[in-house]
Amino acid sequence: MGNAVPHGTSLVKRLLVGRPLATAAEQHQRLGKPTGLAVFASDAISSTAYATEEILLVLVPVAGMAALDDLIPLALVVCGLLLLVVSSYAQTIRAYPNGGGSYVVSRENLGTVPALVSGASLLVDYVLTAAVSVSAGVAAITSAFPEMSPYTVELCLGFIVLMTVANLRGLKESGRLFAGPTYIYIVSLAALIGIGLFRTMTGSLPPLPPNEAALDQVTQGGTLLGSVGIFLLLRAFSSGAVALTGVEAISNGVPAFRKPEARNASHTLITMGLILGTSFLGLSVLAHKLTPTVSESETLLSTMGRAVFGDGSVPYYVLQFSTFAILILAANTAFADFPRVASVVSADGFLPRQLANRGDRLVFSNGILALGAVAAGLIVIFRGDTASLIPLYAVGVFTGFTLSQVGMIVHHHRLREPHWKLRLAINAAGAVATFLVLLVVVVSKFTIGAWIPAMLIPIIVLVFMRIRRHYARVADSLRTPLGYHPVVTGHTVVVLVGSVHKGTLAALAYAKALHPDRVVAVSVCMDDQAYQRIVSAWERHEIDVELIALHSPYRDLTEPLLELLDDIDGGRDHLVTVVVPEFVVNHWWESALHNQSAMLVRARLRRRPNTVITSVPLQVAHR
Amino acid sequence: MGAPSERQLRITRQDLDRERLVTAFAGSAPTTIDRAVIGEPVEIHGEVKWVRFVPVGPEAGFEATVSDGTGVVVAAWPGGLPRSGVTPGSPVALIGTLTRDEHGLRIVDAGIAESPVAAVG
Repeated sequence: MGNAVPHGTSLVKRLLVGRPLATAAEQHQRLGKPTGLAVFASDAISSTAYATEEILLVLVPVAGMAALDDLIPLALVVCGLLLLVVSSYAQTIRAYPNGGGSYVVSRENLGTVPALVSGASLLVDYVLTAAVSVSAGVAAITSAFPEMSPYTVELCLGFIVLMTVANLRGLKESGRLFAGPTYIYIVSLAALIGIGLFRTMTGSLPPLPPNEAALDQVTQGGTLLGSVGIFLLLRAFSSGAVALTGVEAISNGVPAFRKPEARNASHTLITMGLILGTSFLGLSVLAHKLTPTVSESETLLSTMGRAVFGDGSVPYYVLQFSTFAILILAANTAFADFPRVASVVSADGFLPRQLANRGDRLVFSNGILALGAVAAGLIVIFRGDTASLIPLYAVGVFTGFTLSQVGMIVHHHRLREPHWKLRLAINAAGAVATFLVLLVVVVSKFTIGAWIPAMLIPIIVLVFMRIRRHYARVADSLRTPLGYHPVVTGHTVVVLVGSVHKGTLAALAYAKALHPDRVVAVSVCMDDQAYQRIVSAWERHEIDVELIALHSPYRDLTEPLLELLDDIDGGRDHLVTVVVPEFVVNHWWESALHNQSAMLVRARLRRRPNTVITSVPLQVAHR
Repeated sequence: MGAPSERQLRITRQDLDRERLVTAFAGSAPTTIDRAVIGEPVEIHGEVKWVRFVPVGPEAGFEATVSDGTGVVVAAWPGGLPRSGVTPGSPVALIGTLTRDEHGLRIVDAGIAESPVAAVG
């Protein structure tokens, strides 16, 4: 019987998730650089689909088309920040090759509370990444096919399920599945920028005329100032800085790379930085030259794609399709990283231990399922509306960035490795810059949603601490002094019986096999007929075990039993084993027809000291 | 109907049951369990909490654990079979001499008098 064939739920799981992988196969599940880029960089790279537009959407309502003049300087500042952050994380990967990103850096250099703030920030942001990416991707579908709009939430949930299942199948498999669209997007974007810049520079593509209707809609017919103030520039900068979300992902996932892990992860990070930086800057330069009008009804990328490739052309549709795909796949980065960060936090005892366990396919299955569930919950609450979710975004990312860089400053100062002063200066500049962005994000978006993560992160930190305290208390109560021996003065086995059948006799045989001091069969009789039935069955079957029949004045099964157990053990160090015969049926729905009393008894007795509850299964023959 | 008092909300089923039994038996019985004297003949009225039936072996016999709300006494019939009228939840009137062993109060080979009250609820 050991050669069990999966059936029922096991079979569904096997079909969806695949065969279990042995622990020894872990090395084969690791990612090479190309797949690693697709898995861990899709979030960051997908930001190019909307970051330029986000800057213009802040500036255009005030400055009109003149906002395009501020685009390149702002893009350069964002790219400078990107350079600082990528340099910093390259150092983090080198210093902490076992992964963990800002949580580990903060823990090692700043202490527990900053580490927990960092961990909470990262986890909140990964949940938001999953929810925002999927809802943004679905928005792209419903824009193209408006008749699907009523099913936005259902579509979002469908994609969350797809992501969850794909990631449960294993990192390598989800990477393979999702690598294609990521690379198609990168190539499409490169073609858009390359061909677009070539055509604008050679004069074959003149600047686009302003779309007055779209402009009126964005500016809401207000008076345009022609130039913008420093606060608005900072807000536009903070909106553009969303391009940096996801940069930390690779540093969290270093152990997922093939050997040498740190080197491969570092190269992938630099490649990602180059793709992200050049794409973002390239798109900003192209927008500056092409002068597209930001519109509420069409994305900037689509407007530029239409102009460069031609309306209705194949490359235009490839760009649009791959944009939708990368937006959805950005969620994959969250699915790859959230479980890793959760596992590190869990290994430190601040989250349930189950999150540190790898599942059948060597991934942190519980973390994947938790992320899927929470992201699905957010989508349901916010009805899959990207605009409502976006303001919640970025607070966590920039909190993590800042703490990570401050941690690296302490790291350099402590270890004083070669060139430590230069490295410290880079991290210090990065810390100041990312902290400023954090302040701008919180201040400029507080009332429209940034307050939620700002309040949520401290609450999560408190929850982490409560969990840690609980584990510490458990460890304390289990601590075993040398020479400790548990005292057991006697052992009584109580077998619960309702009537006499094969299961009852099997349970009694099991009870005797334990060789206790006493075996008692206990039946709770709700009426006189039940009592007469059990006593006559006892005599008829000549059962040589004492029978206690209990009265239950309030028709409750557990209360009289607890009273009897108190009478049996008398509060001494007497061990009581309660044996519950249990039916094992063929279908899940059949289980609902049995074993309700057993469940109730188990629930009530769980807290009773010196009490063991055990089941004796009775396999019900299949007909 | 006023709001339930804190005591009404917090009272346990065991206390509730004790009160029920005291109300039912304390008035009718010549002796309550808490006042019964060891070694003296007694008549105790109460309700059977549980019965214990050992079909074979040196401990073979029948026992009933009876409570009147003031205490618990075990009526034992060594070697005996289940007695009619002595069933879980039934009211009984036990007559015999009270003894005490390591498990508590006992009346061995107790006589059963006419039940003074009907089942109480």
